[in-house]
Amino acid sequence: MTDHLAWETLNDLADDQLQEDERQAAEVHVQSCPTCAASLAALREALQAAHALRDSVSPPDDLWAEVRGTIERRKVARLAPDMTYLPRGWWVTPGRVAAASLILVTLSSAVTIAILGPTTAGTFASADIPSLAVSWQAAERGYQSSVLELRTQLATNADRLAPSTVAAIEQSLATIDVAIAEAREALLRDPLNAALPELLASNYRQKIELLRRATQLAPST
Amino acid sequence: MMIVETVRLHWLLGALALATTPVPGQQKVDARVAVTRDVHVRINGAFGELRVTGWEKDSLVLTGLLPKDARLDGMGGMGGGPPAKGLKFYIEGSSRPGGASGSLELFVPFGATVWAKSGSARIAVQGVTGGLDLNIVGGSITVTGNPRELNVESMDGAVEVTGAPVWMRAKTATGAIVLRGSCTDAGVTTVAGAVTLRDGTFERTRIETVTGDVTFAGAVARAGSLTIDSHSGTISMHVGAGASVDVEATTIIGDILNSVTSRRPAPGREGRGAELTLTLGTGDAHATLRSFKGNIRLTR
Repeated sequence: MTDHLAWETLNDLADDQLQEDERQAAEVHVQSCPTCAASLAALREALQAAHALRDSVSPPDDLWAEVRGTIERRKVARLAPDMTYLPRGWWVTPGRVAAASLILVTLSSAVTIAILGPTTAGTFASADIPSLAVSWQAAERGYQSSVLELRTQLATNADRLAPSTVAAIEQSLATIDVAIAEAREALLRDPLNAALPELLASNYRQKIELLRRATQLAPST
Repeated sequence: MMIVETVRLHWLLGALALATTPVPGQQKVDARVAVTRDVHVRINGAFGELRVTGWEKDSLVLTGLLPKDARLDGMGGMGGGPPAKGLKFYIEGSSRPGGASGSLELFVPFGATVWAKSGSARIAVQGVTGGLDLNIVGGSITVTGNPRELNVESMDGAVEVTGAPVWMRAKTATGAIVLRGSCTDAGVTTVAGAVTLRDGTFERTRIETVTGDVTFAGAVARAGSLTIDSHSGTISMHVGAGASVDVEATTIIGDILNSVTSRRPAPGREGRGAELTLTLGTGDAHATLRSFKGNIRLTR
């Protein structure tokens, strides 16, 4: 059999909307056509399931979070390359930069793997390079701008400070940088986590505060 | 017994006399001036030790010993005339290694505001109810009493406060910070120093560390707030028997230990870390404890 019932006719038959003569003709066809019989059965099953549904359905609790997450992910924009690197400070030498980069990359990777597990981390990184949400990028630019300003100021006064003080400041800054890298990495992976922006902001505040204090230290201290 | 007391007193007086008698290589400092009760005093430069005491008199006294080749500026304006409203002292350090070895003692009216800044120094303040702004790199800062405003900053020097400052900000890089007492508005920031707040009632408190451990063993005032953020330090909150506080604890990849109630922490987002929310009493105050990879402990 090549001539099957039209989809509309099948729907009307399932809904019992056909005229008597049309209905009888359609039923005769369905009895002799397995294809149309199967389609009619599927339609009636769908109707039955629809009738079983409640009149109103509340969305799941986490639906808005998912929607918001999707919106935020689509809003992302990359930081300008020059915002990710700060100009050279008085304590920055090529060797130290290389060492610090290596440490940061190693630690960041270690944290990522620790958080996501080796398999997930690998596939995530290759499938989709994440970025911070636009709102956070603006805040981060503000922090980095302050850091840049304070570093410049500190570089001007650096020769007035004792080497031991310089070393202590360097060590504390390195500690904070590692914390920033870890928190930032985690926020990239989980942008909807409410605690992570607070923790990352706290680390940035620590860095700015330490730099501010360092710029105000008395000479030869 | 009487003989022992007398001998002890003589020994003490002798020690004090020695302490203020210049030895070769030292110069004596002795300045006295009438000041207002709310005088502002700034003392800055190379001193190794500074003791500040608030007293009932409307006068300022600065005594002590400095290295011979150190210079103390600011004494010029200490002549007669009306009580001074503000005084500034600057100590230019000795050119010899370890030149910041001077030891000074400053007496000011209770309500004075004192601003002191040095490199490596021990600063001890007691009995000042005005404002204190103390800044060092190394050494230590000890404050006893109830200053209206207290701002202390150090790099690796320890900070210890015993009393009830109304407003307090303490910031260090690696120095430990301890506050025993109470505070209406406390802000504590350190990179790697350990932080301890204990004994009294705290109204608005914010503590931030990167790697430093935090111990809060005080009470959060009714309608007050406590916020602790640490990247990798352990956060310990000791809760008193009658505490009435909402606690919201989150650690991204650390653990939460709750020995206050039977409520168990829930796994954090995506199964990592832990989260715990609980209400003690009627939850009149709020505590937010957040750590990235440090553990959070709630204990009695």
